[in-house]
Amino acid sequence: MKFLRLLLKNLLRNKRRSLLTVSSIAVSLFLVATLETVLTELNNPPETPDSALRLITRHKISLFNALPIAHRDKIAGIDGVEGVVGSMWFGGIYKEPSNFFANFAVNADGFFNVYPDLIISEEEKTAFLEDRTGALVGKSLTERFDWKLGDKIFLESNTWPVEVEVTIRGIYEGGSDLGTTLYLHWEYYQEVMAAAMGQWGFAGTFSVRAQSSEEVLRIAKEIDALFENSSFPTKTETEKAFLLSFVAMLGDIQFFITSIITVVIFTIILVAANTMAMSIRERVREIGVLKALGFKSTQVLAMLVGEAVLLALAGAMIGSLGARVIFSALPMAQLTSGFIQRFYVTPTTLLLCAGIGLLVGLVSAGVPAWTAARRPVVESLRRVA
Amino acid sequence: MNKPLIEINELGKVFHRDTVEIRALDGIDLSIHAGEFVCLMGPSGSGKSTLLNIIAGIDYATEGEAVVLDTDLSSLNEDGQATWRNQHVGFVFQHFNLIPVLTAFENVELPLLLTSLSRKERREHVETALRVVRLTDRMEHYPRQLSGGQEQRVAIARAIVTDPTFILADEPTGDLDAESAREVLEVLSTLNSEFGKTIIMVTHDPRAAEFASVTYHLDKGLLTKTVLNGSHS
Repeated sequence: MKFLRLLLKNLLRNKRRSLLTVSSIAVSLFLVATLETVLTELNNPPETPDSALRLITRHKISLFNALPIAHRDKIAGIDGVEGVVGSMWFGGIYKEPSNFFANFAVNADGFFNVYPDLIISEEEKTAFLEDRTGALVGKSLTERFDWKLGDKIFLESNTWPVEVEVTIRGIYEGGSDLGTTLYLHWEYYQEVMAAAMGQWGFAGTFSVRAQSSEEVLRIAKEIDALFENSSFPTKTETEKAFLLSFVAMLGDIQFFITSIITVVIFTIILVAANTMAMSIRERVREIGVLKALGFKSTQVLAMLVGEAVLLALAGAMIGSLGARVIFSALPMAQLTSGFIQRFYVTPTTLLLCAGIGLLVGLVSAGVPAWTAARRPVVESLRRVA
Repeated sequence: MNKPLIEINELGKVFHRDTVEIRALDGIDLSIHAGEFVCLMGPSGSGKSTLLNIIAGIDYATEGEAVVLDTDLSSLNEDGQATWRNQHVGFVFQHFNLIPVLTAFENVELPLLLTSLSRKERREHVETALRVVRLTDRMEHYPRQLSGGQEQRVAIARAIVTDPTFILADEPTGDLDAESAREVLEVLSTLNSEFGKTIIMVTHDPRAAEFASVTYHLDKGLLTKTVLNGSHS
């Protein structure tokens, strides 16, 4: 501790240089924290205790192949199934395409059995169930578009040649989508689809709620076995696995982001190494003086590396904590149109950034500090500052 | 006479610059006793600083031996020499070599950071050293806020703060005006006469040499002349 003051004074010897170095590390680590959080959030979709009981059944070939709505009753007949809800992507556009958000037609009956984790008043539940043109809307969406109960929303589908006008009857919070979705009645959807395209009886997916977690895997196997030899074979997976399959659709994003993070780390090591090399080079004579006074090479080395580590850690902490503060204040679900529902810089990411800071400090100062610490005293003292 | 503090026998030092061999010291025999104020004089390249550096344990001889305080310095490893220097040697350099980001107090405290003294004890030692060089009123000043003479007196305080066995001064007045140089030499003289410190000083300045009790002249690495209190031997 008695060397800390010396270390800090040396750090602040050239304030502008130190500030610029800390800033460049902070900006880089802000980027690293952001990218790492993207990875974390993509790989860890929001979960609730109820979402662990839910399965999603889709067509075995792809999500873009629909399944007959008649599958619903067959799935409901499997032992251990608490409830089943068919749903279809509606693709409704509100006013303009940039106002993208998720909206589905769902079986309203039994919907709240399958999604008991949605927080909504009993009055609003009833109002939604009783109004065929009613809509259930997530709170984040109402905040984004300044909607309230009773508002009529006109949605033009970009997927089907139809349009609907729905009335907001319920506003929910919570759930694994964090309130970023609009649900409309299956019957209303069927009606407009039938008018536009003739008879229509297809769902994109079925959400299946199991009675207990022990039965989840068995039910998934039984559902797929039930339709294995039909014209519409299925693939059933947990809600989490289903959500992660969307990440897989983005390609090898993990590799892409990891590559960027690696390049960023390499770049800041170069920047920090340049700063440390300059700082040490102009202090060679002082280092000689310290050694003449009795400082050992290892002590000098530790002080020089300690300076770099402090500098890099300061940058890392400013960058990563800054990311945490900024992203916690931003409505990321709204800003990303629901693509990223939650953006939380985790303690693990903060630790990772601190680790990177430590690495940057050690690597950047390692060689110049070692060279300076090992230089003979007489040679160091001869150096002109 | 007592056993010498420093005993140098047949000391030689050869430098190699590319393929050229440079003999900086050649067969030096020298004994320095406790309490002496020794001056090493000679033209540039005569080897006086090299001799000082070897006595200080920051350079090594290629021939002969330098036994300081009964220790053959060549027998110590790098860390051992560092510890030995901290305990026994006080350095005063021509260019003062104070750390610019530290105050006078902090500069003087530097060698004490390597000891087991408490913060309070370190403060007492530093204040005492600064009192000896009459700079207690400049404790919190940075080197840039001091005159050259004051900087060198801070450097002397730093050299004596660990109560070393001897003080080595390499051209301590080389960067100073006459008045400041005289002040610095008076401080060194006081340390020698009142505190009994053994001082070995390298200088070009004959007026500085007058403060010493004995002067050794070197030329081209050879000890050419010894002057005792103004009388030739």
